[in-house]
Amino acid sequence: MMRTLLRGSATLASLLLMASTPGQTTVRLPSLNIAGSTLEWSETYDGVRHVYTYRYAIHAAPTNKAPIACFGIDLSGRIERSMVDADLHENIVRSSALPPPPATMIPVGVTIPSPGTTNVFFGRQSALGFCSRGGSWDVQPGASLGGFIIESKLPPGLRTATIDPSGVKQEEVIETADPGDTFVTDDGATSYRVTTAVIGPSDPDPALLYNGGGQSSEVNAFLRYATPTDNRIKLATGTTAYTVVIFYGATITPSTFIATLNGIDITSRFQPIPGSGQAVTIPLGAGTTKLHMGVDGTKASGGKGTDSDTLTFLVP
Amino acid sequence: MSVDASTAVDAPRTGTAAVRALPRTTTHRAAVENVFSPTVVRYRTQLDYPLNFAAGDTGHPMTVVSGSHAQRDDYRVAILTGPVTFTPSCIPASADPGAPCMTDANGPVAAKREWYTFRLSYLDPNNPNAPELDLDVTNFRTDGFLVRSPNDTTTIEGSLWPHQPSCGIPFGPGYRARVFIQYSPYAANDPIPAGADEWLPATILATKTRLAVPGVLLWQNDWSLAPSNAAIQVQGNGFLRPAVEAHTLGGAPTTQTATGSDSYPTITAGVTDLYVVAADCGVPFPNVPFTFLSSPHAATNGHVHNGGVVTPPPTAIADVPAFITGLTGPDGRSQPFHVTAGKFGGVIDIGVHGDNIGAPGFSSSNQFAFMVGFPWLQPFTLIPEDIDLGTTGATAYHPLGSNHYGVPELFELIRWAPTEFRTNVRPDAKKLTVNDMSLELGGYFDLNGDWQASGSHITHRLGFDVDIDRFFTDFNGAVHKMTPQEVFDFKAAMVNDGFARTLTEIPIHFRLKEEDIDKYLASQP
Repeated sequence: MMRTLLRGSATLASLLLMASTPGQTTVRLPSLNIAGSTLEWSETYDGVRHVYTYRYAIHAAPTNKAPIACFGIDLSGRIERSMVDADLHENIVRSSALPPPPATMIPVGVTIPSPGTTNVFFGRQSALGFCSRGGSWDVQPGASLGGFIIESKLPPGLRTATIDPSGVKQEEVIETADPGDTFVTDDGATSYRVTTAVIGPSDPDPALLYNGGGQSSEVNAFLRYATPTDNRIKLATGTTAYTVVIFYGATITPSTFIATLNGIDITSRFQPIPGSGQAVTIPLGAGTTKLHMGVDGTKASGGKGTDSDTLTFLVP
Repeated sequence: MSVDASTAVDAPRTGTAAVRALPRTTTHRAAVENVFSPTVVRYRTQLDYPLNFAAGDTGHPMTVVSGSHAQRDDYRVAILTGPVTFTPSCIPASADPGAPCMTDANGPVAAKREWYTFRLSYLDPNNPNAPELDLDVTNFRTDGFLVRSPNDTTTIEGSLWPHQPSCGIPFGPGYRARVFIQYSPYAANDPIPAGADEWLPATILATKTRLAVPGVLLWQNDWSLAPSNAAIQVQGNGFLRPAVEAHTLGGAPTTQTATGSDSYPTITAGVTDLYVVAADCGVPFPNVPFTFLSSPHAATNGHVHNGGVVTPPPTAIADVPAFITGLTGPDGRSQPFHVTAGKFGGVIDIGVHGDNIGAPGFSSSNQFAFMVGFPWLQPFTLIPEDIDLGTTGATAYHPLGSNHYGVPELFELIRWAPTEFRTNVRPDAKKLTVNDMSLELGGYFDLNGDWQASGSHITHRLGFDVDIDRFFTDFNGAVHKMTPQEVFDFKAAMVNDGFARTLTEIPIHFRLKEEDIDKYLASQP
């Protein structure tokens, strides 16, 4: 049985009949492709409050077929902690009607650009989600939106993030369909979620951090790394940057810290606060790039030591 | 009961030579109810057995006429009688209603008390020297069992003396039920003269091979023991998984999600070899002629299909043979019938019958329900706390209730949905309506009652999916339809809070997260 496809809505202009069987029609849905969209991050540490601040901004690729409506960051941790920490700033109202997230989710304070326009989710899989409420801040193709801030007492680490398009364009078509209809997208895609890596609060096992080698274990602990986990890192062709997550020992002398990238001093990019962690992104080119870091520190015996690490990045 | 002085009756048969000869009867009829038509009965199941025999409940007995048989799996085999009324001076000479009075040389025996003994026993018909087996040794003391107190002169409403068959007793003939009577010329408080017997006729004591004979044999019924119905069986895996093939929705993979995607699991159809097996109490019976008959159980798994195609295609549920006859092999098993599950859940009724099981003339029949489905499915029913939920989706093809099966994690998802919608989308929303989930056993959910895969419901097969209507009710009772933006926001909330994934369907379709699904799939061999 053939049915009229355009059901009185101009938004349905792209709707095409693909197949027809009695009681069942296959309907085309518009693409929601948002490939190329990114989630920008920055991270700072307040040595007085002992709080890390992570800032995020959505950049919607100009080629996007739909606005971006949601993004999420994995905040799974290793151990159980209280989810609410009064030391952490936030401007959201947490719903008590919904179930609490896992107790191992990393405690955070959440600040959003315009309260009331964002649904914030503390998901059962320990993911922190942000969605435009009622499409109020959907990020249109080529546009950007920042102002999403997470505070945490836990240090930075590589986290998985997701970016999702608004599905309203498809829902408008679906609304006109009948029960029993099936759907296919214009581009044949089955998912438009973009998965990427960002820096966010993490819960690393200190015993598993890479110490860079080269010195005694006590001195090696002055500089440790969540990433990389080896001093020679082979990367994919075309890689242009790498984020080093460094942990500074509690007894280091900050003023002695130095960092060079292929011999060029980049010390100013680092903020060596004793006992803290930091995510620093370094640029890479084709070939070999060497990142050298060194710092003096005090051993348990009261003696001094110097931890010196060189990380070699290889981009074919 | 009337007394007919003109009628003479024969003495009751004695049954065995060990029974003392009876006093001759006269033309007197007993002015009593005797044990009143004792019969051997069998109760097939515990449900047939009387709950309160003393209150007149005799349950649902099946009569075992003399020469016929009971079965090994009968719940009880018993002697069942009617009332007994004691009237001094007339002791019945048989167990029949209107039986004449027992007499002695002085006419009707002068009895002041009477005493019945009931016995179920077994005598090996092939070995006259084998000991007589008292079937009630472990259950009842039948030797001289006192039916009523010697001091009691009131009516006994009936008697029921059961035995529970077991593998400990042999097949075949040799079983007998008997009722004995003794009387006493003395009242309970009368002095008994030295050397006199209190009870007459006196009990013949037991020998090495025969039980005692407590007085006069009033009645006897010989019967046989046949194998249980379980002696003919169908063996094999009786619960198979339906197949879930790689499938698409309208030419695209099954899923088209708002915030993620997945491929629905592909599940290989369950297979099994079925056998007809003739055996009882661990003893196989070869060369048993059997008949195997199967047919889909009507209207199971929600496939009522009122107005649709009622009879499933031959292999829709499973390719169980419809009709087979054959013989069991030396090990009591037939040749195997290989069976593969289809894509629909459902029940196939199997009946099997065997003849000459263990001995000529013994037959057994058995029924089996062969099922195809997913074992983890449970019914979703609204509880008092579900004030924000309603259910719908009932059709003539799949009536209300049959369309709401799933797993507990899906129930949790459903029960959070109103809160998610209210918190993240419409604060004025009160109530959501749950539409189709899966059928009771899962498998294809053919929306049109045609045993055909339905595109929009091709995923409603394992209990991991649920549809929620777009219409919701606010706190004033007004009904609203979600806008496309609200639908998206609702889906995004359910996804981001970790309850669900979504599929593109009408109405709104949610599916459990992968980890919830994987838990179930991992439990399947």
